[in-house]
Amino acid sequence: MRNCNWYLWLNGKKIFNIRELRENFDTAVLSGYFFGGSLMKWLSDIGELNIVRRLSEIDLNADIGSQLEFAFGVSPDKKLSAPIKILPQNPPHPYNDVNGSAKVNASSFYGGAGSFYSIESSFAAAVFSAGTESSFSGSFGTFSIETINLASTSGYGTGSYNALAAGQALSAASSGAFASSSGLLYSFVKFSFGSYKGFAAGSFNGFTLGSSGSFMLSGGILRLLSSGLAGSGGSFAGTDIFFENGSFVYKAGGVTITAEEYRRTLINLTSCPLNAYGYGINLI
Amino acid sequence: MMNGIHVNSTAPFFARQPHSEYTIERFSLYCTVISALEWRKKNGAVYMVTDRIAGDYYRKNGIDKVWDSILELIPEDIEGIDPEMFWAAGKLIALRDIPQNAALVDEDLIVWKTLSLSETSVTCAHREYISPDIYPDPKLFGVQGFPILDRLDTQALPCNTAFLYIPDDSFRLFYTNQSIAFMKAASANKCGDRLCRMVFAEQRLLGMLCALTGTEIDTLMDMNKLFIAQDDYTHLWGAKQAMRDNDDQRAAFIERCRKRIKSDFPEYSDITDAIDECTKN
Repeated sequence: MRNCNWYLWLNGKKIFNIRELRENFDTAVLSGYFFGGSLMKWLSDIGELNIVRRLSEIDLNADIGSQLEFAFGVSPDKKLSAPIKILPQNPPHPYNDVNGSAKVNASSFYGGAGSFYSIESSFAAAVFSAGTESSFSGSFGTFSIETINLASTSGYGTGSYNALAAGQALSAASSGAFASSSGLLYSFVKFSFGSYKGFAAGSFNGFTLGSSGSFMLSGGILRLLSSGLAGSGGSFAGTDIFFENGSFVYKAGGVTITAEEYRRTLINLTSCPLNAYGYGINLI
Repeated sequence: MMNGIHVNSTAPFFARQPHSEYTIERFSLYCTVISALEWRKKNGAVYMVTDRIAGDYYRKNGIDKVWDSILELIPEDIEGIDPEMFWAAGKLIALRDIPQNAALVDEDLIVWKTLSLSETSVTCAHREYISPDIYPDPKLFGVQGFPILDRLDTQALPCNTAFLYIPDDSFRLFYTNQSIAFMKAASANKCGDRLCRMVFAEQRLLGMLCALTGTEIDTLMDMNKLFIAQDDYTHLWGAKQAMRDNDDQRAAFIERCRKRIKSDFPEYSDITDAIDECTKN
């Protein structure tokens, strides 16, 4: 029995040879190696060519688990997972076609459980015309939406949001309380992927001050909207892009930003507005 | 010294533009070239892992010299995976099939310093929070034929894989195999999702599999400080879309890149003409 010089991860163990594989037969993981393409290589490396041949004859439309058991000569009581069958078609599911129109008929729109996601095109022309009893909550808030009209919200305040056009920043001052659980005001309307994740949860969170968010992005310039900041260590009054009024140290979630870091960051944003969407672009 | 790889699969391009001649956006190619040259300057050899079409494109246009060599390992059909849903599938295939271990560096990521990475931990660019709009409960995908999902810890934070180094070859194959298996299973039910399934397969699954196996994860950057000024990394990330939307920003970025190549890599200064010749603005 030959050992392989690389292992499979089955049943929580590193598997180097065919005996170990049979003793730790793990259909769920093994099927991943089978469809992922490396199971045959592992078997070839240890000289188990008969099993390779059997695997090459597997019917992809039948139960994969039982065929794997047969190919490896494993009795059913050794298997660790339920049978796997590749179904030809998923049952209809509301999340399977996110390009379709999204309608919120029930006037209830919760995201806390992670039940809502989408892509930019899904809402390209959508108008959220929620009823007055609508709820709009959750820890997310990154939307690629051309137009949003949320008449009334609950859960995070009762602000009114009207006709947020593409590229237009959400104004905390004019839009009332639009807050996320992370304290970040999500106003990056045009992001389609990638960096808005960073904004949603990344370091912008580090210098978002207070629970209602105070920054907006307008024309690539980071501006401070709110005149009152709830962050610890200072306050700031002004609308300029530089942090001028005294030292400020923000601490949250283990992140500390000094006034100097903050100032340097804003200078980078000013010198290269693309830094608002990625990072270190000013270094080029 | 550490080897690096860039990865480019043309399958997503031809899925979007089936009858077009292959090309690359100018700003993107400029960034790729600087990324390759800077990696060679600071960290070691860098290879382009790609398919035949892109390999021909780079060679025909004289771009290939920025890499140590081009490895045409990716099949043009990306093994039947839906290229629209899984536009980064080529990265997983390349990472599975590279003959020698290497750090995966996205073409829009530039590493400006010499790295010293763990040989026991996985190193990724940074962790990500689980925003349900980007990382919904994977069971909502309704994918059949991916039974390992039941064992995975949904609290494990995703790993941003703009940079990825997996020193353990066996774990690299474990991760890439499970990811590819998921993409194949999900491709059986084509849908309009261009984000959530992809980042699950590439980024969240990695964090979950590390948790499952007790594999430690290091990061290049603290996810809470990505946008605080630093001097070590450039990642275009969402700026790619910003440049598509804004001609002035795109032009300014390209000009920055031209100057950077001419100042830091004068021996490659003629490549700016080659890029301008073969790309669309």
